[in-house]
Amino acid sequence: MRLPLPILLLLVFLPLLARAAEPETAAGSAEETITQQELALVKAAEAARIGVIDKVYGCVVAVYGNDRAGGGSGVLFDPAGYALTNHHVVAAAGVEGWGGLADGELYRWKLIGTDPGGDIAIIKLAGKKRFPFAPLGDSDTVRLGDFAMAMGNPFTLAEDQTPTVTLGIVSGVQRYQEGAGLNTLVYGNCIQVDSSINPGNSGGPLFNMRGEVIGINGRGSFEERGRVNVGLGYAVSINQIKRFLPDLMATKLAQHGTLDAIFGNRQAGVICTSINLDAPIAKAGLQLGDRLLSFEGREVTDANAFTNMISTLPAEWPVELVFEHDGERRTAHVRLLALPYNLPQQQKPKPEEPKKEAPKGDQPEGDKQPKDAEDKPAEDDATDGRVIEIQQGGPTANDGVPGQIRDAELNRTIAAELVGAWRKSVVGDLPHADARQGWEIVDRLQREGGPAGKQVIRLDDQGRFRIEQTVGDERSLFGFDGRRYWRRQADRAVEVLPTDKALLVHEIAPLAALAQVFRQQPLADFGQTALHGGDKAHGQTAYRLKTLDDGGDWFYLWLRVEPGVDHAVVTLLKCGPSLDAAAPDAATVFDDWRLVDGIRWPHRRVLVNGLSETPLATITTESARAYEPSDDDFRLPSEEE
Amino acid sequence: MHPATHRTAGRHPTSLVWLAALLLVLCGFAESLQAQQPSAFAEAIEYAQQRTVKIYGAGIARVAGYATGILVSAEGDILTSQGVYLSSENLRVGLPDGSIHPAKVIRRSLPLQTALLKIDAPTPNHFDLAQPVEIKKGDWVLAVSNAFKVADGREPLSVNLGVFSLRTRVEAKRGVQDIDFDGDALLIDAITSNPGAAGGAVVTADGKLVGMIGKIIESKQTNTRLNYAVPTDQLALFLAGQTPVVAVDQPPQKATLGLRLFMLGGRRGPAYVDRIAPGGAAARAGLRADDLIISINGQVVRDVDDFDEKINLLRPRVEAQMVVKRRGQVLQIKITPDALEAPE
Repeated sequence: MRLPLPILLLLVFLPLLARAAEPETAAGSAEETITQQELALVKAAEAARIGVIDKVYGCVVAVYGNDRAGGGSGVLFDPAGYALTNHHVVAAAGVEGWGGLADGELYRWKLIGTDPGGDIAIIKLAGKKRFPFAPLGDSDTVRLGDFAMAMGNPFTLAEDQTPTVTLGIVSGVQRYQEGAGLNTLVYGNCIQVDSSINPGNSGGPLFNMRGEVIGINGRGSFEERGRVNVGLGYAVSINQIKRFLPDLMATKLAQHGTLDAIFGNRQAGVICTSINLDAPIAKAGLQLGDRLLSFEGREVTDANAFTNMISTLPAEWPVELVFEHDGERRTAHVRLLALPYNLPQQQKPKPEEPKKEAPKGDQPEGDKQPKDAEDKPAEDDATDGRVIEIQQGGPTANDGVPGQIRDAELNRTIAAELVGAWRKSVVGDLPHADARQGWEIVDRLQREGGPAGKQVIRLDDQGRFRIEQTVGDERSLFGFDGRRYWRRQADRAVEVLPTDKALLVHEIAPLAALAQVFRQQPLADFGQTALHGGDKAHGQTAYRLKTLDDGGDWFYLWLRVEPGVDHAVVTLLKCGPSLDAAAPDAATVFDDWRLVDGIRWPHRRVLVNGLSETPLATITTESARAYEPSDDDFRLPSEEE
Repeated sequence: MHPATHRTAGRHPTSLVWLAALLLVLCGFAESLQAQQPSAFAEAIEYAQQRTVKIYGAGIARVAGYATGILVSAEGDILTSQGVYLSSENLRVGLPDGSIHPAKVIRRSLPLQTALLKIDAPTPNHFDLAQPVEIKKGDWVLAVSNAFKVADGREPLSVNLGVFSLRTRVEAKRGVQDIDFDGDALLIDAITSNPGAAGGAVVTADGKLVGMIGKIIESKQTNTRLNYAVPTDQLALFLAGQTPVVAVDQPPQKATLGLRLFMLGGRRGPAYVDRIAPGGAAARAGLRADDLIISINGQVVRDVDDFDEKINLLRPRVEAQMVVKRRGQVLQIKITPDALEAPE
């Protein structure tokens, strides 16, 4: 039975309307009444809800394998056709298949990246220039009792591909649902809802009432009554997914992170009960018996809550840990190690298999790794109880080396798309025509504990630049003339620098990175560009580009990517020659972006050291203006006159 | 803490509260309503969660060894659902602050399938059963429970949303269905018939206790379950030591139509009437010998065996519809069964 959407929605509030339709009874009677005004408000509220559903309805994907037997759900989050779904959906469907949208059409999709540990995958739909897409919300603001709408394709019900909408409330937040196999399909810090989640809903979006995706629905509590909704469904929180997006877009088989240290609840607090002495956190000073105080800026009072937090972070994610050692408070910044995982032996889930309840209460340890391969299938996607057969022979979503890029060519294509969007985000529709454009920027320079100085920068729309820096009596020049990087420090001679050497110079590197967007082929002179994966830079989730030149030297650019109307809005967050910005390879963090005559310019640039991004020097723009540049402005000083 | 409501003339207070709640949430798509705004039900949920406890006991086979309970006094009195988990030597109650306390069973009610537990700890936050709560069909209800033991330690209990459907009487049954519960029940459309949920709180949108999630009632034929709550007024009587409903341990009365079928064709033969008891239900309805019984209450009677099964579904003194065939004619007959006298 298929009902038009408005009727479906009406049914949700039928009890309410039925009452509203009752005739007014005598005043003072116990019978319920509702005034015309109240009725109008209710109808307005309902219309608003329908409006929100209309807005996002077209973004929901019915995900099928090539054979189109069985299926799951997904949601488009980018106009280029990128969609989120569950890992267990693509694990069953394969690396390509068909995706149905509410327009009734089927589109080809292929797998981009997948996260077996967190049960999330990205697929890309093809066949349309611009796909509708849903905005991603902030799951940290989701509160118990909030209304939440699930959309998807339960029981592969919709033959015309239109999604099913179910409304409920958030029943719990920060839930932890143990996974299957070793560290796969773990739902950490997830959202529990009573919106109906049934087989086939897997991979579909959970929306808040503003039409933002707050989670990806993936499982329910199924114990004794078969694989149907019993009022407890779980969604992977969108904030976890956002942190994994760069890894997934890099076509990685993503991995989750671990400290390789185990914490337990003791009288004294959350205590380190086991630690691998080779782990970075051990080298950073954590020892057995130390008390964990805070993690990523959040106070830790319970080992389970800590497990919940860390389970949502990718491998290599930089984290801040505050702990107490012998009464002394210490802070450590380390990158997480990769948490090894193994898929459950039994890949073909059984529809009627009762779910084993995780004995969570008996395991106080944080950062725990389930030892035995529990047979708890995730919610496969069934048609009338029929489970998709695992594809035999062909490539599967589980192929590849954990943590590694699955498809280098696809990765380069996505990196190029990203660089293109970055270019558009900075220079906009700047005409690359006859009229030459340039910018003159005056900066104040402040070294930590050192003397203040001044920078005057000239930059043009071909990516050439020249920096004149004065600190005390010392005057230095740095530049790029379109072919060569150079510097002249104090009274020394002009020095032409090969690109790899130039990128190690703190004054040149940030300008060289910023100027790339003006070049005909951005980043070409840095080397071959790949999307290296996800990272945290300047406190934000970043896409990390890695450029690699012929000599084997590399340089990193950290980009923030936000969805935009025509293209993603990409902002350069940070750049540097080393992954961890360890001195002397300090990195530069960019901030305070403002429009200056047609371009966006970072009015604050901070030279930082280490994973803690401790400031070494800060450059603040005091004035910036467009000017008409001449070729002479960018010549090497030796060629002047 | 308790969100008080005041009665306005001729209008039900809870209605306004949930209406306002609904409007707050659904009208507020505008950016003015930011996500940081507490949800419409946040206060009621918080209030109920502070008064609802986790109970751990003995698990036997597939029967859950855990349940939920509600605090009903400041001295550690807890109402929960009757179940095998109560037989544990090591019955424990987890308060909302995460503390665990040993508990004793004080009293049980067979008809309400409810038990009174006590812990040796002060519980200043508790529901007040003495306060009468009005609820109307269609009002929001929030069910707070530890279904599937999702919450652990200090973690807050799960909340499901539904509407109140009906207050009705559920009668204990033995045989085709096994129903222990016998008394008034509030039917709700939130899914609450889950392992561990029994004993949970069912509250209005302004946090008032309307009932306690009842022990699972499942149809043996369809595996469907009844989502219901034991009403607060019934709980109050039990707590006060009064028995609201007499326990029904004997099987319920069976119905008889006062007729005998023609048995020569065996149990698989067609259901022809052989004899009519004088003054019986069949006689009063005008049934005659040699009538062929085609259906009872719309359900086809295939044979003699089938007739006996259909009779089991009838209730004494409740009118039923029969279709019979008499000399080529199909007749509609109304019949009111009598109670089957217990054999002497």
